[in-house]
Amino acid sequence: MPDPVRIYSQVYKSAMSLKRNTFRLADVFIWPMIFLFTLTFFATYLGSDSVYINMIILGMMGWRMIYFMNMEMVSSFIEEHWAKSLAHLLISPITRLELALGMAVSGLLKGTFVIILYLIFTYYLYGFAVTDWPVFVLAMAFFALIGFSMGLITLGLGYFEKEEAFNIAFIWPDVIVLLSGVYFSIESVYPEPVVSLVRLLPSTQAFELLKSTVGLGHPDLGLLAATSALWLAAGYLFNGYMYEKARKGGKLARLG
Amino acid sequence: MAKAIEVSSVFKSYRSGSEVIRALENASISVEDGEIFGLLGPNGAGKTTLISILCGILTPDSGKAEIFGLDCAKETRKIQRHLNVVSGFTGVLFYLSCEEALMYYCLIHNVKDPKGKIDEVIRATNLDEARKMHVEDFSSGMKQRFFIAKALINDPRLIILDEPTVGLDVESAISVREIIQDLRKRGHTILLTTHNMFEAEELCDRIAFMSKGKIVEVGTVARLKERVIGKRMIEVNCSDSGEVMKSLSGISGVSAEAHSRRTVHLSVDSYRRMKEIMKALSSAKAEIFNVTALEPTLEEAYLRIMNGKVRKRA
Repeated sequence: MPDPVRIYSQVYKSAMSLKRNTFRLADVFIWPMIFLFTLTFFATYLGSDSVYINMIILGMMGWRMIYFMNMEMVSSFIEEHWAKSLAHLLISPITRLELALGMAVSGLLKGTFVIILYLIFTYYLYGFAVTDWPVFVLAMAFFALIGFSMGLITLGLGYFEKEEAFNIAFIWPDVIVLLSGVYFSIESVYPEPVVSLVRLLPSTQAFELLKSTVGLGHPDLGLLAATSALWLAAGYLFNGYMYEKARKGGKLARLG
Repeated sequence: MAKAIEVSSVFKSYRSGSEVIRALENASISVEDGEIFGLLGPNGAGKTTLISILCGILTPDSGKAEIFGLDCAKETRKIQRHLNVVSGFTGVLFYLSCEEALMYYCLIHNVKDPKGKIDEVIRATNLDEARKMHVEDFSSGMKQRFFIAKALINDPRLIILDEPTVGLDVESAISVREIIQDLRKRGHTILLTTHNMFEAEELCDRIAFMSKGKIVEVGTVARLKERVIGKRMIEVNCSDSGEVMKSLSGISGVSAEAHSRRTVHLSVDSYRRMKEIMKALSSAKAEIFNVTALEPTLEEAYLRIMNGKVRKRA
């Protein structure tokens, strides 16, 4: 059974980092705002319908949730590697699951904070309001779960590859989000064979669910639940496999 | 009762490019509860590999490593409750103050009264005045004391000290050694790696010499020194070494060598020759200032055992 105190240790570390590190602070305030407004300002300039602006706002929210869940898991780990303190973390009773959950809780808090900021700013700038809260919260929960699964995979790579995993953490969720039709309808952009494939991504279904709140998406809830569960299981197994592989190869943490 | 550490026939090899490096070959050691056990050897001897296996961050290819009867490879989380590590080569998250970093490690170890424990370990390592400072701003000596404080957070039965005084100035090294002595008094078992022979001699109950992944010799400091004592050495400080050498020339079992104009080194097969030696010295046509029995150092024992050579005394 995961220990809540040990899970909290990672949240404490993340909070301290936010308090002292301008880069980390910018990550939850400045850059999310820049990402959002570059797109919404451009859409406004093109004279887009408010439905499309709303779709951009919702898409950005889903994307940020995936980003924070995944990125926090690997950056928190890589920070320990850079500080040469990884051995102190890994030679402790904290389990692999507690470590991942602690980092994920930090990511969830950051993601939720950014989404609240988005809701406040977009309400005043564009009159944006969530029309269906239960569906919105459900979609965000799925984005968090998908981000957590991705984080388990990048953290697994982090056990073995350290910096390379950090680079991959920046790249692959963005590729998945792009494929999943973050601001657009996949049917109107991709050719049919690609559409059939990307519909199998849980993130595609989560974006569809989110878009359905503005009358644009066609989610398949069963597929969303099944593929999310599959990703979570795959992420957990991969994470465990990489941990043991790193432990066997002497790559987990160095003392000397 | 289970030993603090029991390592039996451990093998570990790494692949580096196309080459296979044998880091540990049939390594076996046994450490008693409450003992300070030293691991000495050149860089690349396998000390860090052995420690990493004991800490559970590396698995052996074969053989078994146990801490208090728990398998380091299989019962990792359990053994990590009983041990903590101080390493001269690790760091700490740069944005944390001493107190915050200790709080972080208290949470990781789920310490019941973290504030009380932090006060206790800060006192034990004389870091009272630095508790609000960022660890990154600490001097090397303070950092090492911080890591010892961190290592005490979970009341470990076993503390692994990996070159704890590396890079420290004399005063800081003395301070760290005093803390280590104190840890022994409190009943902690300590596994110490060091390149500092004086430190090993001062602190360790027993020592293992390692070379090329193998345990070459294990014993108390006295026993390891015995290995290099083929003959007893005596140093004579006098006004004229030539005269002293002449006076000793007839004694069997004694060979004399002028170390300098005023110093003669005698190699004797037994201290029972002392009576004859003193008699000969008293009749020498030179003033005798001092006669000292020279004990071999651990460094000499190390060099003899590891390389089969003894450095000439300065």
